[in-house]
Formats: sequence, structure tokens, C-alpha cells
Amino acid sequence: MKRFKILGNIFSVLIFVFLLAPLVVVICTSFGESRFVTFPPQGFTLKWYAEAFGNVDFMKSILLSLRISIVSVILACVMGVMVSMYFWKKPGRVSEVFETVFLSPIVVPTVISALAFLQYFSLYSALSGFWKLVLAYITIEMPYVIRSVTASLSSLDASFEEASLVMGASPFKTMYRVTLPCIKGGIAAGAIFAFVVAFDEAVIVMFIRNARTVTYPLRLYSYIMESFTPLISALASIFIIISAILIIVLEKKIGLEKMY
Amino acid sequence: MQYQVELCEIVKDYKSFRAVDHISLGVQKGEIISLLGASGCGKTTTLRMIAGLIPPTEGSIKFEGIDVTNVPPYKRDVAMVFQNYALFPHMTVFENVVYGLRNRKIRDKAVLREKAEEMLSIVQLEGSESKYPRQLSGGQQQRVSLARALIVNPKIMLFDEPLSNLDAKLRVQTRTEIRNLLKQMNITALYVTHDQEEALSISDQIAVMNRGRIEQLSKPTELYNHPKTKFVADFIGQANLFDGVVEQAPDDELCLALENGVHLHCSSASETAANGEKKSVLIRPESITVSNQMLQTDNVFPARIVESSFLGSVIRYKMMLDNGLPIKAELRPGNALPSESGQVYVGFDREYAILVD
Repeated sequence: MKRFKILGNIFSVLIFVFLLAPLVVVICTSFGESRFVTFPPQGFTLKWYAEAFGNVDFMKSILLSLRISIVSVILACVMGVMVSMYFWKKPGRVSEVFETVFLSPIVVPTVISALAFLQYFSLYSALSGFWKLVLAYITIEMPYVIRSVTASLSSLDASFEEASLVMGASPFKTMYRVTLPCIKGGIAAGAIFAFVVAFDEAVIVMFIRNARTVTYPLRLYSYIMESFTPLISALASIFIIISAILIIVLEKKIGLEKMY
Repeated sequence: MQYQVELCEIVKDYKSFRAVDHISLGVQKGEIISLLGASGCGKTTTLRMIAGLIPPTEGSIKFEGIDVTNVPPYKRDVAMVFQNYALFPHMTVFENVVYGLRNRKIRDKAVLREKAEEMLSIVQLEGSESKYPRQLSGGQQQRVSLARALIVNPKIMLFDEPLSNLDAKLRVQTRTEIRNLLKQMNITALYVTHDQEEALSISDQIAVMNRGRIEQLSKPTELYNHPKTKFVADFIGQANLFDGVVEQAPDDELCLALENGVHLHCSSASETAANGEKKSVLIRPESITVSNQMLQTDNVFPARIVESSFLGSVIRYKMMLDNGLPIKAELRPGNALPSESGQVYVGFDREYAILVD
């Protein structure tokens, strides 16, 4: 039995190496002194980070990505919570069908969704590029919000709402003083996941971008096409670190196991 | 006399079955009535209809004479104590306790604080205001839940099996506390439970429910000593029940002829027994005497002891009468006990043989 345990440990270490090694390589190369990305990196410098933060184009793209992500996450959360609550209150065949529809963007390949958005938005040229992206991202973010909020709701005791009603609170008051506070962990978890999904989305934006909607992943991509300097690694590292912090906060505050 | 809460011919139908079947019940101001029954008998459904959480299919509910059948729960001025306490996990004890007052537009911080302190001291939880429910034990949580309900001085307090998540000792202690509090504050209450001992000790009246109907509504002692139906007799306490036909004995007293020809002298207190009517007879195990000597009671039968079990305060005997009827008796260990091998005599006076439907 002990031998199996050791084997198991070795196996899980290998999986971690497999998953994390590329990230470690990226972070290491961002400190290299040479003009080109090399591994192992030569020398140690922070100049690429200085350059990254001083680059106006990149800063613009980061701000744009943040704006798109934040606006779409807020809207996706409002709608996702409403949809989840409806499914929770009215379980049944019809709800199941609609739930599948709402969750489907997770299983539809992104390229297909992107093509669909492209065709769809070509009919509505009145929308600005910003709002096109927000609308598209809401659609792909909603499944994450719905899944996490539904998980919170299913572990929520229905007697909390009943107690609130019986104690004299109207249904509306009950929702914002009892139900929403009780599932706020699930909403936050769904929001963070949705944010990460929107922030590093690169496929849909390629299909429906215009000159004004060069988001962070897109900017990164276009730089790589031009030159492969450690600046790219530095920018990617910033990205990795931000995502890691978000996930750690999520795990500490809410617990990732709630997501599934 | 106007009832504080009155149910008139309440019916609740679900898709395939009738959960509550024409229940009528009046609760007077300050009275505690229990709804007692096995699970699925409709007692919780009845309670939830009074709270307004589910609408009745037919019938009406009146509070202080005013029809509230279509009034939503948050306008009914009721309060409820749940089986799982249902304390809001994201609020402190203080926030939980004043929740009902806040909803009744009481905003003054000083008033809220004073009221909460008073309630928490009544339930002996002074100083727990800033704790969260998860930091309290089950018993303490239930007392917070009680304080949260009592603070609004509701028209009726509804209890949904409030003690079934507590351990046995705490259950006994808490039920006495609940009764004392309700009586002290003159609060009307409806108490749902499946625990007969709890119902007997807490209530002024008990409504025994079976298949969506009230079988009998009586005071606890009345219910135990003079159950009206076989179901009630069997449900409350231990019972020996035999079916038979009513006969008038030669001495003009009531008699029940059992199927195997045995005649039992019965109490004539039950008024409505007509000759030839099919009835059952109830004999409580503790009203039976067992002895090796012949007894001088109204009913005496020779028997053999099949099994005896010591239960602490009593010894329970399972016996077989020589005429083929099984019978249970409970004797106190302090008394002279019969020897278990050989012939015994089982005896009981006629007033302990109660006719039931």
C-alpha cells in the first residue's frame, strides 16, 4: 500500500510540473537581459517591467480590458442571479431545458460562438465595438455565474426565506436582506471566474474587433507577431500574477470547491 | 367567545392526495394547542397554512375574527420557530432577534437594543448579542430563535417541531421553559410535534391528527384517560386494545363481548354505547394488576407470563391469557412481583376498561 502512495505522490508532482512549468519559464524569461527571449535567461534585470508599465499602448489596452470585463461581469452577475433564482424557485422540466440553454456557451467551441457573434453583430452595426464585446462576454460569462450561484442556492435552506416572510419582511426585503447576503459567496466566486474568462478572452475579440477595441490579449498577440522580446514575458507575467492573486483570494474567502 | 385564531373547514389538496381534510379548530387567547401526529398526517401543512406560507385549497382562516386567508405571511403578524432554527447565518444574534421589530418599522436604536436585551435575558442568553449563530450550540440557537419570535408579541406563535434537533435531556428542559414563557407572556401558540410526551407536557389542548383530519381535540389528561377512538388510544401511551360487541350485562352494567367469547366488564362512563354496537376496549398496562393469588377485581383472567423487561421505573410483562388474548401490563418494581413461572392472575376494575370507537 505504501508503494502505491509513493507512486501516487510522484504522479501528482509530475502533473503539477506539467501544468506549471510553462508559467515558470515565462516568468523566468521576463528577467532576461538579452533582446530576445531565451531560456534559461541570461543575467537579471527589471527593465522589461519598467518598459511594460511605461508603454502607453499596453496601458490603454489593459484599461480597455478592465472596463469591458468589469461592465460585462456586473451585468452577467445581475442576470445570472436572476436566472438562477428562477430555476431555484421553479424547478421542473421547463427550467431544466432553459438551464441547459443558459449553460451551453461553456460547451460550444469558442470559434463557433465567435462566428455567431460576428454574423449577429453585422446586422446591428449601430452598436459600438465596446458594447458588442460586452454583450458577447455577458453570454459566455453567464454560465459561470449561474453554476456558482445555483450551487450556493441549492445549499441554502428554504426556511431562511420563510422565516423572513413570517417575521414580517416583504418578498423584496427578504431577497435583499436574507437571500442575497446568504449567497454572496457564490456570486463573488462566479464574478471572479467570469472576470478571468472575459479578461483573457482572445478568440471572440479577434472576430469582432475594430481599431478601438484592441484588448490586452490582442495587444499581446500583435506584439508577439512583430518581435519576441522579454517585454512580452513581463506583460504575461503581470497577467499570471493578477490571475493567481484573484484565485488565491477566491480560495481563501469562499473555497473553490463550491464552484463544482 | 371569539377565538384568537380560527380555522374553518380547511382543505389542502396536492396533485395526488389530500394533505389536510376539512380541519376546523379554534385557539383561544393565551392557549397552547398541539397538533400531534405521525409524519405525513398534515400537521405541518396546517401550520404553514396558518403562517400563510401556503394557501388552503378550501376553507378560511380567521385571526381575531378577521379573515386572513388571502393575507400574505408578512402582513399576518405571526411568528414561527423552525425545527432547524432558521437563524440568519450572516446576522449577529442581535440582528436576528430584532429582525421582526425592524420589519415593523421600529428604527430607534435604543429601543431595539433595550428590547433585544430584555428578550435575551428571558431566554438566558445575556451578552450574546454580537455572536453569530454558528458560534452557539443547538439549544442556544433555538433559544435565540424563540427570542426572535417572542419579541414581536405575535397574534399567534407557531412551533414546527422546535425541539426535535436537540438531545433528550435538553428537550425536556426546553419544553418546560417554552410553556412557562408562553404562559407568562400570555401568548397564543400552536405547536406541531410527533413526540407525544412533548405534546402532553406543553399543551393546554392536544389535537391528534390522522390522515389530514383531527381525530380528537382534548385536554392532555382527557386524551390519555378517555381517548375517543382506537387510533388515539393506540397513539398516546401504551395500550391493550380488543375489539368486540357491546352487551348489557345482567347487573345492567356495560359489557363487551370479544370475538372469542370472553366478556369484559367495562366502564359505563362512555355514554354512547348502544347494545350490539361494535366497539373496542382500551386497558392501559399500568392499570392492570398481576398476582399469583386470585384477585377481587371486576375482571379477572388466568394467564401466563411470556416475557418481562425491566425499564427502570417499571417492569413490563407480556402475558398470554388462558383464553388466548395477549396482554401487556406494567408494574412498579417496588411492589410485590408475581413469580414468572406458573399461573398468574390478571385483573383490572371496570373503570379501567374504556370503550373507544
